[in-house]
Amino acid sequence: MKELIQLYLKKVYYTVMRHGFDKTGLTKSKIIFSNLFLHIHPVKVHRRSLMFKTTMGLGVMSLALFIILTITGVLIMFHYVPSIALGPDNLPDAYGRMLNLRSNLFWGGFIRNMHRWSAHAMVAVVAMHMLRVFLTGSYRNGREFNWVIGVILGLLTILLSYTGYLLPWDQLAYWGVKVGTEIAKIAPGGDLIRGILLGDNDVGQEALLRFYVLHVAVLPIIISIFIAIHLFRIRKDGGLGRPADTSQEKLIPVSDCGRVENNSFFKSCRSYQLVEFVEGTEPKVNEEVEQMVFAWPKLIVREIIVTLLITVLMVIFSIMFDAGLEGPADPNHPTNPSKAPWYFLGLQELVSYHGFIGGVLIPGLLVVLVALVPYIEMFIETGLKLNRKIVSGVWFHKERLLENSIFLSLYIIMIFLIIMGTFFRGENWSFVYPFAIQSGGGH
Amino acid sequence: MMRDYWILGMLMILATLGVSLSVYKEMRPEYIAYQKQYYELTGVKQYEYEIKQLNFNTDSGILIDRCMTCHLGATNPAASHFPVPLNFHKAIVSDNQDHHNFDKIGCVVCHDGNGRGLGKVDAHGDYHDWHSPILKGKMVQANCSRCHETTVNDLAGAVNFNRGKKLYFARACWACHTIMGLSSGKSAPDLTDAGAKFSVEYLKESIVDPTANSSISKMPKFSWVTRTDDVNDLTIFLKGQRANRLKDNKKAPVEYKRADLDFLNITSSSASLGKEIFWGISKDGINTRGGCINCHSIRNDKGELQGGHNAPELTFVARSRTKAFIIEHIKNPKKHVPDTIMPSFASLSDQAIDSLYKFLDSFEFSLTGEEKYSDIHIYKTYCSGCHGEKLDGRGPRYALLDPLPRDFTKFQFIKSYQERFASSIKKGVPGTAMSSWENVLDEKQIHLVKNYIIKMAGALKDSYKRLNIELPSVNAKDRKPPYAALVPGDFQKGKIVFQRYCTSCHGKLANGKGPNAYFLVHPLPRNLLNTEFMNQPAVDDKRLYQSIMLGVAGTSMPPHDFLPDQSILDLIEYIKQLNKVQE
Repeated sequence: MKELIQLYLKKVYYTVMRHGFDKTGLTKSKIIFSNLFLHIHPVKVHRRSLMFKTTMGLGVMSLALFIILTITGVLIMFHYVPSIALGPDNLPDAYGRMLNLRSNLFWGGFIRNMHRWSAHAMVAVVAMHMLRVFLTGSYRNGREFNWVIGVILGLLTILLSYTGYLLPWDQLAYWGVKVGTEIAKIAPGGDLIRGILLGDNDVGQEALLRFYVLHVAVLPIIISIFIAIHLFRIRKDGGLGRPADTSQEKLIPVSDCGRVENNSFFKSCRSYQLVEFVEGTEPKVNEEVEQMVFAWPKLIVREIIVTLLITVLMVIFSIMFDAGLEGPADPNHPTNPSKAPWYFLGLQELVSYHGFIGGVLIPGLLVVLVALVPYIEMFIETGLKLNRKIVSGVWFHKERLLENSIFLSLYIIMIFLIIMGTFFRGENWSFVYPFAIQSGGGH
Repeated sequence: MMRDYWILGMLMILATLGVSLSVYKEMRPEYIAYQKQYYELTGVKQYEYEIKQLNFNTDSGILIDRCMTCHLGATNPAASHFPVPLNFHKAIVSDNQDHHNFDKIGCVVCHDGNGRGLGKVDAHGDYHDWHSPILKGKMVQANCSRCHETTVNDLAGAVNFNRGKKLYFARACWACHTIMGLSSGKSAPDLTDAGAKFSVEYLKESIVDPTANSSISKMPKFSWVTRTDDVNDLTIFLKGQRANRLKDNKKAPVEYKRADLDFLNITSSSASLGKEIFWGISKDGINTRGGCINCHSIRNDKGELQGGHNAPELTFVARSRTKAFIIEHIKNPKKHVPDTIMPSFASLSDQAIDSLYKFLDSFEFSLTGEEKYSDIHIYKTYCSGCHGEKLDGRGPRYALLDPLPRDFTKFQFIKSYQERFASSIKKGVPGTAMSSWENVLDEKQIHLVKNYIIKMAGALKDSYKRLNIELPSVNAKDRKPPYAALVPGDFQKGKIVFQRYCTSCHGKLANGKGPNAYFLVHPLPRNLLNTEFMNQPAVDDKRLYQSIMLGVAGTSMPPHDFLPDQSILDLIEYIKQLNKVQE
């Protein structure tokens, strides 16, 4: 009887999971490729990709933050109403909901904190991810287009964060968005884009609704598609960028990547040998098979570690610091200074010097330049017949000194401007020392 | 591999702990501790932790009120000795007939704050930009007017508010500001909705230092703002001014009397009545419309100065101006000095204005004895209030005068125009605050003070000399460029020249308020629409020609020697036409 039950349970188990958890190479590959969520990973990964210094986990972190944001965002959607109609206590509905979230909705404050802080963190992590990719030159050697997609993802992240910024309908949100959309006015055709975005001449009910739909439906779908493309291309390009020969590098020892039994078949190839007949370089063939280890369990565990790490950080931050909420949006009482969200403050700082040059020309040029940087590099190299042997995946490659210095200086200037705009600007955008006590405004 | 699992395990524990902590925190909100403490103090055994919400339905919207979730003892007389926030709220009006039932009306209605909030910071509205942060202590009196009629009635219990209302008249606020039902001044922002628009701090700051929140404010800095109780009471009164009420006055349950606000009814004129108006003293609890003393100062017969430093001293005014001028000036100050900040007091009755004149006419102070013919004493007594002890045109009362008093330290100016001084002192300068002194000072005194100014300015020793150029005559052919004979000035052409060369300082309207004027300090560009000034005999074509061609020495007016004579003639015609008095 006991055996029968065991047999039955085993049958049930194999209808759900199509593999066991023994240590054979076959099982380890099955775990990866028979699972919808895991099969974006290759069965075997290069040992180099497992190391912290290769990626610093920034890509995974961005994805993890996106998932946190989706979950918390959906939870907030159950309560939020994108309406500025006045409630019984004369507060706009959207704002009243925020007050409810904070004071009398169980766990509401925490969920909102998580959502707010993760959104800020995601913009920062994505920016750092971009810096990492540039400094390691990882966008070279066939990964150029993935960089462009990455830049699009970065822009979408900022757009998502920005559209979410308006939704609480407090003074900070209202005037932050107002400033942002006023900057858009300066650009040629900006008035039209602004009109489409706001659905009105000014930030109001229509703008709130449009921002809401963009924030909860349109942009998440678009960014999901682009994330999928981004990851898919990494996979098809053969994993993370790395030098062709890594035999001299000090890598994670094979013994630290989990014991493998019955590995004879997998010793000589990465996964299955059929793809080696495929012509061309897609999928990747002819690699250092001996440097590859099974993705299960090492890679998956490390990915979970990074995910948990960022989650824990966000949870602690959310417990300690409440997301700000100011008074209800009041179009008649501008805050002084009116500041856009922090990632736009560099832009706002530039705008304070010159509207068109600072608000349109420089950022526009920067975005185009950054998006096309692999192709500019390629163009120069082709034109000058440079045959630089630059391997991707190496931090601060000697031959990339010029590129790295230019990019790094631009990055630092941008950070400097953001710090300047965030901490050193007071009333009427005049210079102040940070944390100086500002005299009260209208309220 | 083991290390990875270790880290994984630790992080999982941390994540679980973190999330649990956040849930735990939600389950133990701030009020639990207060409720526990309260029930222990009262000895109640059976109780539940709960949010106590009260929806006070006013005539305009619902006030959500959860304050008593923490302030549990507010309506329990037995809780008088309990610690804050559990203590009993005393009756608002200290007799036994207080009809405020906090169980029914809640707290927000008087104290403001964020009634939905359940944490202290949240509920008290102590966060940035919240529109109604909590009102504590005496400040609460500001909210009585949300339900009760306060314009006429003196509300029992609202002592400071009532005092603030008195001050609003005594401090002459009423003359410039409008509050519907109280005053209708036109020279300053309407304060009917001030309480809803501005916070307590903002109002207080604006009373003490008007330029703190609006850098272009023309409101005087009054000398009484050092008295904190006056400022506080006035703030309470202003905070209570709201256009939208919660309840109609008639429904608010106090003895209701609605009539127009009574003012002292003046039917006969006398100097003593004038004094009361001048000082803004309320008589028998009835407000007087007055308060000149807040801006103007006067000297008693011993020479002691009293009053505000925002406007000219009035000790000599009855001697240096005509009666008609003074009465007209009280009714319509802008007629004589278009840029004055003095509001119109036309709402005063003729008898009241006459009383004021009689009061002003009663001053007799003037220098006597040795000091009478000491130039430095003459200057200090009569001139330094506006022109400054250092002759720099920055006396205690200079800032709000427009045009500004002349700065005598600019020796170039003194040197160029000293022959005009005697007549300016004697006859005054029309269109400015400079009055005629010939009835106050005798010839010798005028001569002394003139020489004193010239001496002190250093204009004697300096070798600066101004050209004396003649106004070119029409048809002259010797002027440069020599292509044509000069023709009489043309208004339209002059306008074009003016718009091209003069507007940056004098402004498009020629009122002296061009964009560059903002950055100039002393003196400011002339208001060319100041008809009284521009039409005086001293401002003839020759003077205008010299001022444009050579500039005005010691001021920001630069020479315009690049302009052809024809253009200057056109300009002069344009300026003259602007000031042509319409019949």
